[in-house]
Amino acid sequence: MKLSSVLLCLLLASLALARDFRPAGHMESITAADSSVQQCYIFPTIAGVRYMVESSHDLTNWTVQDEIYGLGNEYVVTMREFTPPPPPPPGTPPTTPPSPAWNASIRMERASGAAGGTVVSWASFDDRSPVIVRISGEMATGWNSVPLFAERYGAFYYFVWHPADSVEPPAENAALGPNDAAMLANLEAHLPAMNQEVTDSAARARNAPEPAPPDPDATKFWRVKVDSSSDTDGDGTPDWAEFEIAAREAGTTPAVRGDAFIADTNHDGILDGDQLDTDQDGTPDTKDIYLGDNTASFPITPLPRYGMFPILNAQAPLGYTPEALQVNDKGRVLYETGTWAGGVWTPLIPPPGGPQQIGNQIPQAIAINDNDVILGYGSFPVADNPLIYGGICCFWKALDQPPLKVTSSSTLGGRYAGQPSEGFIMHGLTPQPVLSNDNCFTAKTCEWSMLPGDTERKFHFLQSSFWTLPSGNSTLSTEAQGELSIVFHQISSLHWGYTVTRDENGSETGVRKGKVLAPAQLPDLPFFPYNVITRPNGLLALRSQSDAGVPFAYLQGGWKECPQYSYAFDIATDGTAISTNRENITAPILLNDKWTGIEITAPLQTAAFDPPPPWHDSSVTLVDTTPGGWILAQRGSYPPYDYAVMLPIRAEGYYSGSDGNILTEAVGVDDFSIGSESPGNAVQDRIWIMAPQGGFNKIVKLKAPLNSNTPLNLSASNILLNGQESATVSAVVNAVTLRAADTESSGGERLMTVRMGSGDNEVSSVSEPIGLKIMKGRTVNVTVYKVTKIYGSDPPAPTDRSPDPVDEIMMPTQDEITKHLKDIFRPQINVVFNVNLVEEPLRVHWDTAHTPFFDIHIDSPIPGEEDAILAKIPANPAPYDIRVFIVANPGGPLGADADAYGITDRAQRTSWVHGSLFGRNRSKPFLLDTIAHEIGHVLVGVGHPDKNTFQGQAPLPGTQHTRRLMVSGPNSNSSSHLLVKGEWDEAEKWLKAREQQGGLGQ
Amino acid sequence: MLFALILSGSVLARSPSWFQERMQEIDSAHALSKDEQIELLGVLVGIGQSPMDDEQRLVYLKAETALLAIPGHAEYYRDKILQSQERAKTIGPYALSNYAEEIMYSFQTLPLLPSPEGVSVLGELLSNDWVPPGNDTAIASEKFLPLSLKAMDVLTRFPILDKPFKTPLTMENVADAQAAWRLWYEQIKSGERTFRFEGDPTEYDLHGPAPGQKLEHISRDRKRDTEREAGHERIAESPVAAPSKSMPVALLIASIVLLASLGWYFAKARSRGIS
Repeated sequence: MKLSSVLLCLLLASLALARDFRPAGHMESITAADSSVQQCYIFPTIAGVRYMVESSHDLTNWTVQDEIYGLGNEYVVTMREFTPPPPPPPGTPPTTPPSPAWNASIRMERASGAAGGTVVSWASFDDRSPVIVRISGEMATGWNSVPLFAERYGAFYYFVWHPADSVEPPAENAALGPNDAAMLANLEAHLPAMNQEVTDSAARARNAPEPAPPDPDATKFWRVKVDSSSDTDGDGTPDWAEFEIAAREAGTTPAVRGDAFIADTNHDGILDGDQLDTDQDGTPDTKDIYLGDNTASFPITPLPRYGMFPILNAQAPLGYTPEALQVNDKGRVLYETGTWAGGVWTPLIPPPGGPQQIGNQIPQAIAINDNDVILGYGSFPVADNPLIYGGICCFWKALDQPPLKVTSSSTLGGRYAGQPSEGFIMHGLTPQPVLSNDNCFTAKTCEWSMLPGDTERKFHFLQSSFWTLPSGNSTLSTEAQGELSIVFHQISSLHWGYTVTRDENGSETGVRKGKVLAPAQLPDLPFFPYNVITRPNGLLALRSQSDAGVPFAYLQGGWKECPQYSYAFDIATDGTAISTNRENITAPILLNDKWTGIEITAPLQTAAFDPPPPWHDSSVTLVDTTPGGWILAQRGSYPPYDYAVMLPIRAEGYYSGSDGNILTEAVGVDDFSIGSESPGNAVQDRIWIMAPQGGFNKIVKLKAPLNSNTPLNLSASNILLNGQESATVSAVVNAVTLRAADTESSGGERLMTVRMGSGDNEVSSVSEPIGLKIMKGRTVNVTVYKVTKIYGSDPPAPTDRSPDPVDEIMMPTQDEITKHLKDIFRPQINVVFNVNLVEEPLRVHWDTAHTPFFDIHIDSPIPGEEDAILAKIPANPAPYDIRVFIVANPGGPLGADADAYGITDRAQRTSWVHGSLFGRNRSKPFLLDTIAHEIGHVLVGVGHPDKNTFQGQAPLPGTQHTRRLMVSGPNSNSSSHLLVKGEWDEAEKWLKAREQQGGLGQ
Repeated sequence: MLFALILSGSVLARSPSWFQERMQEIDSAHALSKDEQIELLGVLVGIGQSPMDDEQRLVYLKAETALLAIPGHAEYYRDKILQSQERAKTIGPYALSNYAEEIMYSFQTLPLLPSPEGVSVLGELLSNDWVPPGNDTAIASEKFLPLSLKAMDVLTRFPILDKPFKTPLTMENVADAQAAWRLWYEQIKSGERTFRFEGDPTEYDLHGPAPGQKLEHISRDRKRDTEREAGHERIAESPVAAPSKSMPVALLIASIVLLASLGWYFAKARSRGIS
């Protein structure tokens, strides 16, 4: 039955990498292998991207038809049959349909060196880890003109990518899993045929379609899911980017190469992802939020949570309500008649002799810069006659000083900066820098003078000028030729504004063109930029709140669209941006590529969410942010508004490891979980810190843009901070020691109370951004056995194979295991280990089935091969909390189909770790990490966060799982040690139970 | 003597007050809610999973006595497992880890609760063959044993006299074992037989000591069945092994299902906790 309806859609299941990975294909009718004509969807693959082709009859239940690792080849999806195959000639035996093929996307390169041969690389069929082997077969010269090749041989459909360069072969071929071994055997067998095909035919890297299978349903839908996040070698640069770099740098000899299968190509101990820069924006890939987009070059930052401090004591002249104008980088909020910082309201000092009431022009503020210099305007005498006044700019050099006129003349009757006017300096709330940090602004010059045609002296507005406020003891500002089109000033060398376009008749068209001087005039922008900031590799021009559209980045001599910052109207130095409310997000903040609402960025107590409390309701908007990240929030649908200051607070752990090295990752601060789209109830959208009990003092660096006017007081019940009940910090980086009182129950949780200011002016944060998990100091007793594999009797008979002991070079000492485990678990869950390494190995003939693998039956009523080992444990072993068996098994994995380096039976508190050279298990650090990972399974539970079906206590979708201790597969690098809050909770549960049962040490 | 040896080689450094604290916890457990009591006592009963020293044994025995005296002590774990299983069925992958943890914690305690209620709970689980659907994919590296197998494993370890299947479990006989245990439980549930624990002369049904009337009834039935069987064929080795008239089809289906799940289980995934 033919399909009556076909729909094909494309899904993008990838990281936000600012690249369009959707397969742009086309439909084509192709003659299949059986001479039938098939309607096919053909799309070009991108090297290093995985594609899942799925079909469905009901758009609900989808079946995976095929999975492809792209190598730049075209892929053909057979959808339905147009013309059936011709009938076979009489007497021809019926053909059998072809068996399904495995898609083998491999890279083949000539091996350098005298030994010759071919280096073959691919992402393992068994565990997706990188596989690199040298085979003796040589590639024919015809390959020189064939970078891509596709052909089926037996059960494997090969997509071969052939870079022109030769490559150094591995010193030794890795042991292969069964599927990898099968593929390689097939490849070696068919390499001559492949060479012949390449030599004979023009390159056409496309798979020939198989006939579409008959289908009983009349309607079928297809879709292609794209996964661009594949990072086979785990170096932090995804495969597609590695291929792109390799192609870009072909023929050159870069120090660090793009190679999807080698994590450290220059062997300097630093992962390639820390050194490669795919989009060449100056930010290395592992730190680049958008590593495929050079218009967005802000690096990934630790995620903050915000303290939220309502402003309750701002004042206004009688009959007016306080209206906030700006916040500066000292956390000072500017109102028209005063400022607020750290809970303190400071009214602006009036001019000498009292407020100038002439013309009701009380001096009032317009803007403040990050040095607390304030620009304002008011009525000031401009002539000898005090009744003659002018509306001119003034400034407050310091908060405790009266304002001075902005004038370039030392005598009355000179030149002044004129007061703001329409279309010039903005009145009211202004999220743009009017007064730069080096005290520059633009205003019209005005003059009390008599110009030609005047009969007496008058107040004249002259040209637009670029004013610089005086420094030191001077009272005279300087003025230079300016432009009225320039409105805002980041610094004296970066200004921007707009020009109005006119038609041929000279009438304004209403179209504004952005104008940026930095310091020379840049090409016009097609919009009026409200904020322009410098980035690592250029400028970024943002639109206003009401101007929906894509902002522009200036790099390499031109403006380019920067869609990653759409909606943002103000931005901090680290790329944290704010936007207007939209799409059900209240008070959105852009944090590492994710627009995040206020209920997440400023978490309240859980109980406070019903009904929504003030500052979480939909009338909250963000109106200004600063380079350091302070945010001014406004609440209310109409005046008078409430205002609050939001302070970003970040936390970084600090731990001195056993070797004296300072560790800041995976040391008991969990700001990782909040990066997930689903952090879970254990996290409650907060940063969590493990608060240890016992003799261990945790050191945490709290980071916030604080200063002496905005001291932050931190406290939590029965938590000692710097040895006291509370700690006050006022620097940008603040080291705080932290531990819980021993009287507290282990496992308890606290929310940190955060107050700003001091004395009577102290104001409490309505949010509670930091949580504390109390964990008792505990000692876990670990017994480690080495297991020598024997093959017959013990001692071996002459005909028996020699016993295989655990690899002595890889095998760590008792002290090394103890220190390694301590460095991982002590700072995170306050556990140290009493390791007892039994030096005398257990000699066991466990492989009675003579299979390559060590067949362990975890949690099963049917015994497995491990029982032979357990039976060899000497009588009366020392009590243990966890047992670890390091098992020698050269050439084979642990587990029948698992190809594992370690397996843990949590119920039995027993871990099995591979102790022979196998796959990537070739070094002591790797083995130590595997031991830690398996012990982690006992402590924090089974499962792996990166798996599809069984993800452990904290799946945390959308996060970088490779940073975690419990990630599956070979741990990608030595820094993958992170335990998160959900895992702390499970560890506490297990440890507490174990303690109640009389286990553990104190 | 054994305990002395263990203690002499101990690396454990329990708090000196551990014993008193635990005994006090048990004494004051009645002040807790029923669920909290079971949770606490269940953890303490878990001491019995490993070799115990004198102090641990005392705590274990006291906790076990207290726990078994609480009606619903086994049903509490059953409910936790089944609720977790239900979440795993409805929510999917995210709930599987929690399900696995519930299975692990509960099945650590259930073997230590040999009681009629424990037999009832485990007997009912003998027919629970659900495994998560994602487990049959080729890339799965985690596994779930069906609750039916877990329950049989625990029943096998219970100190029950005259167990229906005494042969050590192997790949080949596990289906037979499960069929035998299911039949055994069905007979108890239907009132056709009772059971005893080692060292305890009491005959139990699923509600506790079996009433005398019931025992007489079973005895009469057995005698009658024996006489009837003797009239046609050789008496079966054990009444348990004698197939019920209504069971062959169910047994056949159960065996097929079990063999299929075991085949999948041992062929695909034996690797919980793989690194």
